[in-house]
Amino acid sequence: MSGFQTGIRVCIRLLSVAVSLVLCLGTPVNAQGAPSPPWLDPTLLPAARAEDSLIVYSSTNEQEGLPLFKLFTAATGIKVEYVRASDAVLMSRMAIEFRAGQRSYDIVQTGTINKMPPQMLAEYEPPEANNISPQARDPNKRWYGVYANYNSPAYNTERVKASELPRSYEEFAQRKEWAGKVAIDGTDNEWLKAMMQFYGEREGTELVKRLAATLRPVVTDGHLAMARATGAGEYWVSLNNYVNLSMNVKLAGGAIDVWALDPVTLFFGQVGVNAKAPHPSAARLAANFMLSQQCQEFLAKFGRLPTRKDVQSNPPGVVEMLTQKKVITVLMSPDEERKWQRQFDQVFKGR
Amino acid sequence: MSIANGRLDALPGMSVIGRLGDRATSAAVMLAVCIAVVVWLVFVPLSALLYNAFTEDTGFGPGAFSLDNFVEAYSSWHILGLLWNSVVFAVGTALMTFVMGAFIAWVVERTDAPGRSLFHTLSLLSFAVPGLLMAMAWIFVFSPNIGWGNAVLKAAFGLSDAPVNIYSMAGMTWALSSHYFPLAYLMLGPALRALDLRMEEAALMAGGTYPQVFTRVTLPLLRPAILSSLLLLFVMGMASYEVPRLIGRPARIDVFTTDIQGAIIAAPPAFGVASALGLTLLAICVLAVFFYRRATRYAESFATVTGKGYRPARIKLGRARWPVALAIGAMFVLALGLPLVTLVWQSFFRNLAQPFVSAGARATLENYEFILSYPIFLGAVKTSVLLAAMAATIVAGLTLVMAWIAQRALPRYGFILDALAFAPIAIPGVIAGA
Repeated sequence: MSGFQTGIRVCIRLLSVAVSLVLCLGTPVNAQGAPSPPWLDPTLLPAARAEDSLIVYSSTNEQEGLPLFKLFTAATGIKVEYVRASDAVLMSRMAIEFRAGQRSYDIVQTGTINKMPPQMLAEYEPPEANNISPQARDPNKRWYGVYANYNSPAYNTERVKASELPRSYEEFAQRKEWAGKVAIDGTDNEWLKAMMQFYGEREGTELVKRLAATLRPVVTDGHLAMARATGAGEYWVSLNNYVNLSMNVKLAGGAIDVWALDPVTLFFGQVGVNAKAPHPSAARLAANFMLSQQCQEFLAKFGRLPTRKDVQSNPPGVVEMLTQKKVITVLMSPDEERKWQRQFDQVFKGR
Repeated sequence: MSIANGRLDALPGMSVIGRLGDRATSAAVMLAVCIAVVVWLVFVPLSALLYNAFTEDTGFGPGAFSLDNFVEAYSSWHILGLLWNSVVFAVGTALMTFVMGAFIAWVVERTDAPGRSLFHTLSLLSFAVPGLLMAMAWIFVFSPNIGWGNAVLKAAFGLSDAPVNIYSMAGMTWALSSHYFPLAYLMLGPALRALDLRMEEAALMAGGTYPQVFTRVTLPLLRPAILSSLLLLFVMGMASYEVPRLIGRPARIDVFTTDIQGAIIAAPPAFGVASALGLTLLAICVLAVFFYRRATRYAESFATVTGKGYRPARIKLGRARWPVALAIGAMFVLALGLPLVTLVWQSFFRNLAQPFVSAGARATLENYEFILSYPIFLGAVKTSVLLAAMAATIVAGLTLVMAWIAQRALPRYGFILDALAFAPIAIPGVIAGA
């Protein structure tokens, strides 16, 4: 063998060692060759890449969710299947699939994960969880807040002037001229609980009943649909809605805005890992991604309010406006949910 | 007579008997298979429904035997409201849909009004629009606050309040009827086509007046078709979900299907309560089927197929030809045109934009761009087409075999297949799906 051929062989050997080293170390370099994002956990990445797939169940609409997970795919090379449905539909779907022993999704992202039986979720502590507010972390390590779901009333800016807005729920309960033009979602039991906590059981019950009797709110099905309907003028005022959805419609050009009253209910749009995830490493990596600055900055463009202090809300100042009021965090168990939903139905649906 | 190789099949007639015997055996096997398939399709969801209704609802599946689901579902006076609303909505839908469909069927099949083939095509077009979109479209047309139809009427007549409110029982009934009337047309059309006009002519010649002939000859002959379509429309009204959800709920008109869905999509889902509610819905539908079968148990006496080459003559409307055609056309414009125009118009705008009313709203193709670039769009279209084709083929094939067995092969056991064929009608889709 000539020296040239030997040299070629050595070079090839050295190259393959180098490539193997790169693969073994799992150096996170994305398709554009940019520095790897901080959320790319090197201990998870090789196994996640080997799984090569991620199934996401999410209630975030596709206009946000699909481009968001394109970022994940661009960074990891992992293909994502994004399944979107409302939180209510997702809950029943996951319950049925769990009963049937199906391993049908890896992570779930919605606002009702805290109401799922804990056995359905894997216990996991993503590194990025240290960067979100402590309130947004499940003490049992089964879910983490991706965005803060502040609740406040919203109004159609073409039908109602800002100067006409009530400054308290007591004032709200006197607006007879708004009867029939106000909406509330049929599952807003968190808001009801926060009202009781703020006003006390007796006064709170009386106030809520007065609100229902005076305003005769239309009970709707779906918070985003209600935000869009308010922006369109179908309803003049939403008695309560998710601020991020009202902002989402506002940023899309809808005639809607929010204002804050005491109390402001808070819970979280959460992420959890399926206890029976078919791709567990990809699931954990994706959960970490969802708590990252990159993810939350992306979601903030659509009006979602971050759980991280290093991410600015959009438009700026929304969180500051809301936190001037008394913020009550409400995270309910399934039994509590049933109890408060029953109370809500009694007041607003006459049952 | 000869016996060849000890076999009797050479005897005259024995080969025919043998063939008939083979045919009877094949028919018996097919009967058994059909019964097994239909029983599976009907009784599996029913069993699951009963099981869930009578067991405790845990987070992981049915638990111990319990009546708690019934207590939760039926312990409020609200249940009476549900019952009333559901029945009124279903009856109203059945009647309105029937009248609309029957009018079109009569014009298309029995008269010489112009545009008959166009009306036939338009009737089928209505089925192409999903019920959810139709309900949404009617909100955009006749919502008191944002409906463009109301805006146009207010401007035209100088009204201060919206004259039409879609959020009402009448609105719900109209929204569903405008979607379902082709079904009534498709069921009544063939019956009218095959009606023996000579019976009517004979009655007229015997001295009967047109109203008498209509009520004492025509209607009785059409009774099975009329009752079939009313039954189906009633059950579809009871099982309807999109219209009660989008239009009924804001109007505080709750029906069984909205409460059943509400239980299923609660957090956590209450499948047991949903099943308990579903049993009442099922009982109402079973009762409707029972009354239908009693009313048509002598169906063979309504047979009007008369033999070869018979074609009923069309009624000559004379000067009423064009007015009748225009009336049908106006009905299509109202029932189909308004929602379709609304949907197509809205598809070019990001936010709500009222046709003929919105000024300054910017049209855009963004919605189409989004749909066409949506990763699963083509896959979803393919799956939908495949699902529809498979369902249609399986149902048509299965019912063809069942009809052949019931009428030709083993008519003695036809009543079993007859009863089983009706059973799925009594199970509303929301229950089967749950």
